[in-house]
Amino acid sequence: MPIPASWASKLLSVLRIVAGLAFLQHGLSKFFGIPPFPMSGPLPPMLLAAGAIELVGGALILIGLFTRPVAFIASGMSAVAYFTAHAPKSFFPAENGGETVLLYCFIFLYLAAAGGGAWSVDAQRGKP
Amino acid sequence: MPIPSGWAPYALSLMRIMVALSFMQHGTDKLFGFPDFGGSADALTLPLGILEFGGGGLVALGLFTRPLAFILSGQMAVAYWWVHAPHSFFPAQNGGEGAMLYCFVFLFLAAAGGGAWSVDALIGKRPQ
Repeated sequence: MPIPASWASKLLSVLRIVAGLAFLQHGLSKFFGIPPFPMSGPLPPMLLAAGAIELVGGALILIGLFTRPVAFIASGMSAVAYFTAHAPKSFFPAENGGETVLLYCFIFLYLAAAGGGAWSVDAQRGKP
Repeated sequence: MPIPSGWAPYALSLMRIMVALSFMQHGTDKLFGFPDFGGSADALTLPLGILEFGGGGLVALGLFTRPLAFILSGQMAVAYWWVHAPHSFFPAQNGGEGAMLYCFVFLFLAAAGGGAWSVDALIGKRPQ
């Protein structure tokens, strides 16, 4: 096999870090405009709530602290976002703009079961 | 914990199936124009479509998961740096967020295999 099976726990952490960073990006975009958020004016309540989960949840997932409960919340938020914001536009995720939301939903659902992997604060504090 | 850790091999398979199905969309678009995302064909359309449809299909089934996921992960890394990275530093702005997530999910699957619900597990090729 090209990648040894023993790397799974470390690559799980790499996946967690990348997904957490990319998720955090959307929170930073909504609240601080890094990168610029495409919508102008004050955020509606639903986007404020989503942004708060992306900001705080993304940061916690990034460092791997409280990974399992936080990933569960982030997964649920992504599911809601998919069905409220994207699914009405088209059946196909690549067409309705919800493809990454769908990926986040199932990546975080897996993290909610599997935890943060070898390289995480949870593993350091002995609660993987 | 909201999701028992005993569910991890099943959540892994669920993530693998959803990610691979979503990935296949891009293959069916390139090979069959369904769903049609637009864009014109070039020399790479056929090989990339075969990788995305055939490779994605086998990963969805969980057959030869580890070597195929390794190839698809590499394909997505090339796609990210070649197609998306020049547009912007931020994945949310350069259109490469999906490519990045696919890349790291597949890299993890290349080490971890297809999980409990996979053809590999059925025919006794699970890594652990």
